[in-house]
Amino acid sequence: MQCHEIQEQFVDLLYDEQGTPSAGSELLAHVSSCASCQKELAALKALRTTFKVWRDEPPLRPVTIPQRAPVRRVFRLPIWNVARYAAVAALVTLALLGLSNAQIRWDKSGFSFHTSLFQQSQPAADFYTKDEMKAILNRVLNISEESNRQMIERMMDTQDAVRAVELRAITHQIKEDRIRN
Amino acid sequence: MIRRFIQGDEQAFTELVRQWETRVFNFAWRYLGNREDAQDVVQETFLSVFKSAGSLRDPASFPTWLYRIALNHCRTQWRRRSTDVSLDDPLQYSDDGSGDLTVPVTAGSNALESVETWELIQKALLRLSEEHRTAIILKEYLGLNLEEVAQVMECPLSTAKSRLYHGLRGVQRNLTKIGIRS
Repeated sequence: MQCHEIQEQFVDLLYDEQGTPSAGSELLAHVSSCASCQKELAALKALRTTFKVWRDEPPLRPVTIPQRAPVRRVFRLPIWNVARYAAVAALVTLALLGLSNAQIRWDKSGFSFHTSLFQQSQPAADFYTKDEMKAILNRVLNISEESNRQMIERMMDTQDAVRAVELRAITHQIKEDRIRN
Repeated sequence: MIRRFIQGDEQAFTELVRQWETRVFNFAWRYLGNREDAQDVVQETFLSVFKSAGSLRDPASFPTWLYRIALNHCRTQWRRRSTDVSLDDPLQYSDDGSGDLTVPVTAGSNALESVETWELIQKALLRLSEEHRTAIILKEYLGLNLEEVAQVMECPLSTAKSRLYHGLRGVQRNLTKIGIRS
């Protein structure tokens, strides 16, 4: 092996570290028999000692420590911000109600709220049934009939009373005419 | 402390910064050859560390993780000022037009006496390629082992060794050019 090839492995001799491959026997044999490589290795070792003159200098300025952004608290927001968020929330709620076919009802059974996101809403169970409607109509008709009958009776009574008065007046008139004649 | 930092403890982060900022500053200074640029790198490095704490899985690998981040910022900074090779102390170019850097040393004087050795080494280092310079700094200044050098440079161990060897040869050559070593 040529010197320039073997010198590539000088790092193994310069830094004999645990955990990294140590210098091979071929390298050691070459260096022990080659004056040129011995000189080169000695020069590199001397160079390494020169690096020891490096010294630390303090930084020019201390590092500015970044701060995490403070957590924003709702109660610290200006009132117009709260109002804006409330308006947005209301719009979003309305949009969601529309999308979900929401039905809000107030009827005989009280307040009810229904949604049907993927299907048409079913007729609510609180509608009157056919029988209920028939009974209601019958009841209304009965009430109406009774009312009409009473009214007719009152009309007939009134008629009878008027006729009786008229009859008495006519009878009285006839009697007076007879007397006069 | 590193574990507390990973969990988001800001006090632990402050302690980490104080513990490591000098090392990172000197690493960047050796890489860039300019204190102000190094200071910028330190600030950017710890900002990145702060933002990406969650990506550090193993607290034991914190040093190599930190140096890798610092190295990336150094590379970015180096590219920004790639046309400006001036250092804190101005160098002179040789008159023969070769472009080699030389240090103003008075004739007949001992160079080691007139200019501090470590400054000359730094100047010789800055003449190296980015990869060779990085390998030298990681190994000789930060004292990482070869495996860690390979990890920070994100390359195979054999490549890290080769870069280190050629880096040493390069420093040797540049010092010879400067006139320190024969």
